Amino acid sequence: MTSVGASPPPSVAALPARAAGGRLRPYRTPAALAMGPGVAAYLLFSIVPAMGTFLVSLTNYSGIPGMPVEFVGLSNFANMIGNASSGFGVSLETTFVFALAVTVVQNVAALGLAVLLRNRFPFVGLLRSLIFLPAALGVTINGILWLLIFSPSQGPAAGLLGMFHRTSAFFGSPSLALPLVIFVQIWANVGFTSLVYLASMDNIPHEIFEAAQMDGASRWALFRHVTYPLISSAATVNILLAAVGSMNVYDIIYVLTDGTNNTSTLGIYMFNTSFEGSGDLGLGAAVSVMMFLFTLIVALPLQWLLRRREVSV
Amino acid sequence: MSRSRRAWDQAWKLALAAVIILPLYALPLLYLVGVSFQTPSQFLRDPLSLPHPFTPGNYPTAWVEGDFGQYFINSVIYTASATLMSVLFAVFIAFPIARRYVRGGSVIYSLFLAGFFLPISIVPLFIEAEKLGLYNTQWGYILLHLQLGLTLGVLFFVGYFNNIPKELDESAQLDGCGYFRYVTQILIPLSTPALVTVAIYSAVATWNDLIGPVVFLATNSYFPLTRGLFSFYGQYESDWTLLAAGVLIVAMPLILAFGFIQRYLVRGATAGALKL
Repeated sequence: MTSVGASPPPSVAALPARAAGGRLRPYRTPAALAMGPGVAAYLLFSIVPAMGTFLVSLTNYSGIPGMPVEFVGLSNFANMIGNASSGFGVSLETTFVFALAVTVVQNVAALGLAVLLRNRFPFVGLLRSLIFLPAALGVTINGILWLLIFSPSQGPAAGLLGMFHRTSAFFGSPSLALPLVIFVQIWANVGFTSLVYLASMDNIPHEIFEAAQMDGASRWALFRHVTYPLISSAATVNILLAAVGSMNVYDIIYVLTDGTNNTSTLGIYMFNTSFEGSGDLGLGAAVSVMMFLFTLIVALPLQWLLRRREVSV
Repeated sequence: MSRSRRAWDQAWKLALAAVIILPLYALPLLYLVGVSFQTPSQFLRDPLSLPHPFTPGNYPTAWVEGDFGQYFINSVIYTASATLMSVLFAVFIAFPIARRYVRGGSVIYSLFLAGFFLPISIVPLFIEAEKLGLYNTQWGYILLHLQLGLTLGVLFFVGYFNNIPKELDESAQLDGCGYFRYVTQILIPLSTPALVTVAIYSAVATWNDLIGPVVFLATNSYFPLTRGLFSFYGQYESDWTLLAAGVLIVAMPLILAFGFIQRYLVRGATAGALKL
């Protein structure tokens, strides 16, 4: 018995000494130092390039080694907007059509799918997974998959049209390419949008429905006056993400058409201006700046408008 | 609503969903599977028929012709390194901010929040890569892909670490546990769900990036799978049976991993989206 009391555990013995000395400063110095590498990487690869976009847009940076780089003021912007042959105006129009169609159709389709996939049958899980699969497959596989399906000579879509004695160039058609690109963009992203709606529907307390049903609300009234107001914050997010995402997208267009056949959105226009041919990096950066401004012009009022309509549970 | 009416209600919804989703999402992939097992002559004769004779030989041929082994290794190296590094960096940034161990933590936090609202900066990033000697190098390619995991990680982890009691730091320190040991052996194991969510997000984005290798890499042997597959498509555009096999070879690891990653992608997406 005496031996236990005589030798207390060493950590307890050390405790009062340290605390009395006031030395216990919780990890401040090592914690601050360890932030260094990550913060440096973030500044170097996010903040500096973002600021750089504005700076480069004011130069004639060409990407050809050895060419002198000069400060040219706003002349990239003047050329882009003033010169009709620059392709900027057409791309702006295409972006508008693309973004509007994608935002509206993707959200309507996602809402419809969410309503259909709300219950929890085993097979429903498979369907939910299927619509989300393109998010994992990525733009390269998604793009090539649809290029093959819509291949004008050998693809199954051409075979189907052939039965009606018709042909189409699909992604090579000046009138059909844009609708098809819009379709692929929605096909790839509707799963995500739908799952966000589903998640917010799952958050609605069941009693609200039962109360409304007891009051004799019709199916439409139930959706319009109960479900929709309560999922409106999900709608805000989905609409904003679809709008901002579709205004700035270019990787899927790079795979499908590379901006040919009237599918040149601002994103692919920026990319091709910068990196294709001789490469006009100054002009490309200027297009980036314009895209940034358009995104703000659309997103900020849209967010304000959508937030105002929200109801909380 | 009566019981039978509710059952009927669910049945037609399920049927309608299946009629819309299966042709659009399952059929294109199944079609490719069919083509990938056909011989070229059968494909030309009747592309919509079932493979006859069953020809698995397209897969080894595509694997060799497409050099997918090399690209696969590259993709694994890029994805694993960039994800691991960015998540680790993010943990070490987020923890002191969550604990207010550093002055100006909220400024740093806003800087990361701003990361979601910056202009597309591919052009200056390309110039920077050239100036810093990162262009067309493998480690440069990894550094250029830290961004997403860092931005997302810091925002996600600060919230998560707030829920871990501060007393834990203090008692660990009393026991003489150093800072790095504390983070790696106590904090990180406690935060696995948050870490995995961010890691999977960053990994999927890095793995699937096509613009990155187009802009930052020039040497074939450095290409990841995305760029390799895209080149393969350009080269064998008319050789469909081989092309179908190639696409499926690249898609297969993603489809296999999908069962596991889907949960986290959905969780990350909905958590982020509903909080926004």
